[in-house]
Amino acid sequence: MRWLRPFRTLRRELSPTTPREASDAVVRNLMLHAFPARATKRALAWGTTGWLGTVTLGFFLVLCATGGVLLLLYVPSVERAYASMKDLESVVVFGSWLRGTHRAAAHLMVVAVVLHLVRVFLTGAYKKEGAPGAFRPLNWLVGIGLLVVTLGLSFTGYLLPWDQLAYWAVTVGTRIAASVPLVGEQARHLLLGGSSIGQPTLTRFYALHCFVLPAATLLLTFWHLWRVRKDGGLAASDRVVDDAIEKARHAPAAAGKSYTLLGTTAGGTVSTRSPAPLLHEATSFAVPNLVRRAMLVLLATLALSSLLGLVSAAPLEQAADPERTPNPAKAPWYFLWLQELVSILSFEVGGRVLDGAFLGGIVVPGLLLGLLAAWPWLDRSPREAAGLWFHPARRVQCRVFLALLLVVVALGVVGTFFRGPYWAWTSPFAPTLPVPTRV
Amino acid sequence: MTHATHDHDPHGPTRRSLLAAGATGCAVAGALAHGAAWTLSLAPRVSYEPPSVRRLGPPKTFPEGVTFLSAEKVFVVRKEAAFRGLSAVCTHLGCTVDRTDAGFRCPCHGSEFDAEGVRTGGPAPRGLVWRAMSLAADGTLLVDLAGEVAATVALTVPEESLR
Ligand code: HEM
Ligand code: FES
Repeated sequence: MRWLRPFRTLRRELSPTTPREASDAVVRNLMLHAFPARATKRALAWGTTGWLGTVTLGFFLVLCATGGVLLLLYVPSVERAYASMKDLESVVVFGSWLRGTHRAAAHLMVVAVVLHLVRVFLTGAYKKEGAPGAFRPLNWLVGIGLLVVTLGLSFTGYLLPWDQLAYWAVTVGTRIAASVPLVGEQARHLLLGGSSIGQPTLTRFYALHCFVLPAATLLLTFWHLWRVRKDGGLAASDRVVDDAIEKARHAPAAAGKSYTLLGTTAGGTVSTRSPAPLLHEATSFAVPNLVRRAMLVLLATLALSSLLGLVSAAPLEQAADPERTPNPAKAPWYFLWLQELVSILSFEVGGRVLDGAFLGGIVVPGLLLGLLAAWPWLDRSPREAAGLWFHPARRVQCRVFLALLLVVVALGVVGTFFRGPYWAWTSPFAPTLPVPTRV
Repeated sequence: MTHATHDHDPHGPTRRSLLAAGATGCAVAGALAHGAAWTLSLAPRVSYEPPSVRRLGPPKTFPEGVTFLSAEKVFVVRKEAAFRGLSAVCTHLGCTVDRTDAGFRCPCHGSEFDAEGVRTGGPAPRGLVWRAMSLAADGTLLVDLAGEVAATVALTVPEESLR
């Protein structure tokens, strides 16, 4: 049947039987064109990267798909937003699953993007050695951009249900912006579209969440993945290539296969001292080996978020009430380390109180981001240290990084489990949370 | 006489480079103008929020002591004929404070204030804000939710408005 032909072609492209077909596939197919013809076996191994970047991308795709449906069911108005969430939970067929999946994928994407950053750091994969024209620190910066956009997506999405959680988390969050000297108040005004959270705020957050930030994520992701290719593949492959060149230099000249760009060989028998045969050994065709793994990873992210969305319902508190602050009012968990910081970083110096909101909400996270951005230029380890977990030459910096990470996680744990009403110390094991009575 | 091709200084601008520079300039100017216009268009010039001066009702409806008005986020503090208004908006990050035995306390990060709104602990950088109160022509108590007055500024209402 004629109409089946494109599917047959796709099938052949995805499971090539000859090297020729394998290399043709990446040229003929738009999607496969994103991949190189060959990838090192080392880069493909699960333990090299954990495939965490692909995992992050997977959750993002799940978010786009479920978000596309939610977009049609949600009404971005202060009068109706909360009611449309209630409808999703109780009236819309499979609505709560849809919402649960979107919420689960959102949380998982934050987890995955942080783990991906940790992996890149611990393997020194931002280091610049690689192919000519390669400059991995640039991709590290693009990555930091992606981290910021991911957090922005979570924060803007948080307001949309228009419940108590949403309203007060955004109240606190935007006041942090206002604590910046000079421009802070204007920035908050622009973000809220007024002096308090209302319809203009919801409209702005809605536009950011559903259009601006997803578009930015998509564009940055394209750039990010293109940079991986430009940088000569993953950092883990640098070593493989270096080793092959090194070995070839010492080996006697031999009849070797010629190595062409696409990896197809005509079985040439020129005597050379080329790393090509060694490289050939160490690499395999991207189609199907890379593609198959990538598709498996994407499938796994879809499965995980769908299942989590099924078993854990997304929370929905009471409708937003500007007149009543919940006690305690907590930010989403990935921002709780910041909330903990803004509450402990107020110092009294000579009768004046230093503003914890500015220190904890702007200065400290700003310094941390700046430090992350500058790190590739601070890292003076040799090129051999790129692409290896905990390379001895990077042991100290890996420890410093992990220590900083631990502090952030610890602050988050304290904020999540050990802060009760009035942000006072409490314990997750306390039988009942003591709620002080209002006078 | 010079040839046409030597009309200009070979190192100076050619017609092509001049046009290119002009076009680039136009593009940059256009981008800047649009960027500025978009940003300015997003800063609201009309507010649909309620006005900052709110009507609270006749003074006599407020009992002696402290009354919390949740919609205005203000505590009305009455001492006989003297009225003062204390903002309930925490000076840390804007949550609404609760009244406690000792004064006020914020549910968000635990800032504490005494009965006069003076900061006694927690992350808030300063004490709660006192608001100006006034009487409307019809005798209704008004509070201005913008601006600030000293804690000592009280509105003393005439005897007859309390009867
Ligand atoms: C939406 C967020 C992100 C997506 C979708 C994403 C996606 C990817 C993918 C698919 C890869 C290929 C290797 C792998 O899977 O590990 C990769 C590599 C890389 N990513 Fe990301 N990433 C994101 C965020 C980040 C962040 C936050 C950073 C760090 C600040 C970062 C830095 C890098 C670097 C330097 C590489 C090259 C690694 C190497 O050469 O081994 N990325 N990214
Ligand atoms: S908002 Fe009141 S203590 Fe933070």
